[in-house]
Amino acid sequence: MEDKSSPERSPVMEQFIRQVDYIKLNGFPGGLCSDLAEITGATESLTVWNTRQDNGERVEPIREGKPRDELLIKVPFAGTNLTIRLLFYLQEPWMPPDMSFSDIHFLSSISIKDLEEQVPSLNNWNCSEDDIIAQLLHQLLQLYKKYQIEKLEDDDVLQFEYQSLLKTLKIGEGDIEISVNGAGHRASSLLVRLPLSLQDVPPVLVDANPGSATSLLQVTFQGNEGVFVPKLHLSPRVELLIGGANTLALPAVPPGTCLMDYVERVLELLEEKVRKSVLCFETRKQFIAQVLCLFGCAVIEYDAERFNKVVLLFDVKDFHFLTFIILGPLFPQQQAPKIVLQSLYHNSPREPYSKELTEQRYNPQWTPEEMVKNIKEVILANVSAFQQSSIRTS
Amino acid sequence: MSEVMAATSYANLILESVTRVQHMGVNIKKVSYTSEMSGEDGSSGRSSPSEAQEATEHLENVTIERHVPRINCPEHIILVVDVCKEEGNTPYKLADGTKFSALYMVKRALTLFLQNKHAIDIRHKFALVVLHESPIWLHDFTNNPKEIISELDDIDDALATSHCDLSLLFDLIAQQISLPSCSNPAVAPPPCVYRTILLYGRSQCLPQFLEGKGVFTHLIQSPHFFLDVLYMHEAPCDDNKCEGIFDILCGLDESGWSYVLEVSRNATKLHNHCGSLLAHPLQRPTQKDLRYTLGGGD
Repeated sequence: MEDKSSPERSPVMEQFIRQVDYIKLNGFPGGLCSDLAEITGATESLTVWNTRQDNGERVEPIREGKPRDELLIKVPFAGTNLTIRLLFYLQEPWMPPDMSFSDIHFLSSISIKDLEEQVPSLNNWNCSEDDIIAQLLHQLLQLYKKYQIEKLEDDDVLQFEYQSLLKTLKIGEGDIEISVNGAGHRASSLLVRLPLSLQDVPPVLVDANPGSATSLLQVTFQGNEGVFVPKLHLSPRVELLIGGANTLALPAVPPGTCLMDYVERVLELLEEKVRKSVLCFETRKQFIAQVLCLFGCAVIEYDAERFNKVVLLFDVKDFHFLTFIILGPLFPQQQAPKIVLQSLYHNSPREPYSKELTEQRYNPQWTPEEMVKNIKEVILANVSAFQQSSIRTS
Repeated sequence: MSEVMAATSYANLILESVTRVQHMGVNIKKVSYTSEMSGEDGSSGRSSPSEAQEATEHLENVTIERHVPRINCPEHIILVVDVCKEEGNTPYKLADGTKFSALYMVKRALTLFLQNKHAIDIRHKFALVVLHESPIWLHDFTNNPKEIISELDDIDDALATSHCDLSLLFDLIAQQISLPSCSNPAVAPPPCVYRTILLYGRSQCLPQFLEGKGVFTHLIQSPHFFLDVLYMHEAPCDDNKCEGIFDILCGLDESGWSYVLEVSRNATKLHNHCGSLLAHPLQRPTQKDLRYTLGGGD
């Protein structure tokens, strides 16, 4: 990407780019979306910057910069993006960078006083600090957030919805990002962190992913009638429990839908999913316990953490065989336990001969005891056929 | 156990981590062996009623506690295969008349053991030791059963040696493994457990600890180390030492949690025992409590 004939980047720029890479990997401090949409090095996006037009006006850079002096950082905010352009004075490292933004009205709304009070990194610019870029971005983002909240005063409807969300969901200002549209272009949007708690979830169901358990609802408004389009974002820890965000069907949004009611419905939907996952886990646990109760003296091994599987050894008329009972993610409501018989004597050819017993009666309303009794009957009904075919096949 | 209790607390009761089990003493293994020897091949291995009753009357109840949670952590299994072939060694004879050497049958049975154990949980690992003059660590731990199976295929039997020194075997094992150290083993699940499965095949040579039992004792007192024995022997008679050897092997079970199994040239029973040995040491019942029979009117 880089022009091969241009001189190498200065070590200071290298350091800034490293910091940006670090933020890319480890999340953006203070933003609701910890995965950055895009962080770009200067040379890649310079063309993007120069050709972009905002509202028909040619965006004038403050100062002509060479590619190796600048960083363009695209930060996700409220379901949309804010691009921040930082232009460094590499020959005068004590000078803080010049800044410009994709939201041109933002820059004109900032006073010197605002910068002094709320973006202290600029006053105490120390380019050798390890996280100076992260600090600067964090402070700028907070300032941008304030600017957006002030804009809300011009939009009664949106202001009302913002306040209602805070009140109904009992969340703080740090849990919502809102982007109020300018005159005519770019729709308003907001991003709200739903107070979905995984507190009562058995740790074993989420421990595989140690990150945060975040659920974000993005809402983009269209027109003036209060019509909006929702989108759900879930962190991997939550998705591990209830499935991917794109597999969860959000309720439809007929015209006239109240935003607050809708958000509450989505939250209820997610809470229901969490409850269901936990219930499935408990049901599996009860099932395995019942198997152990009846067949504890024949147990070979069972999954003692997630209760997904139990393996038993049985003897029917001196014929010994293994039985695998496997509980899938849709057990019990939509899926019967999977029963596989496996040989101790015959390979076919590189693995022990095995057969899944697919024809079984099943009723998800049965108690664990009834399910286990049924499994015993199914096995007894199929053993002799299994024995015959294992001999034939080997 | 047919009482109906509140579902979750009932489940927890079954699954709770420490279990007290009544156990009739390790000599019950001896009782079942003796009665079986008189019953020859094909028997299901249960002791005759009078002998079992005798054992019950003469042995004291011994309580055995589990000291580790019943978690299916990965096992690191050390298969110790005795390759000594004694004079007068008889082959296995199948129902159709075909004959197979004892070592061949062991290889077959272990192949199925490895494949089945891997199918149960791919995290389990296997190492291979060959027992001859001195034990040789043939293959280090791997969770790919094919590697061990291929090593097994290449093993040949060898002339029997005059002695079998178990001290050397446990020295070797102690060098190759590092036992997990948990601050609270009764509660904390271990990262893995080690299980040695000794497949001893001699009928004339008594295995002994020629250099003391120090290392063995150290290993066996760890709650994360297990020893199982599969003794494959000729039909016991006055000319061989099967009974004495079996006594010694039973004596290796100091904790009460080992499986000590024996078979005499019965291929089906050999494979059945390998099936029993699939059981996870932290979750399986004691040998005395094994009940595999599945039947309507049992």
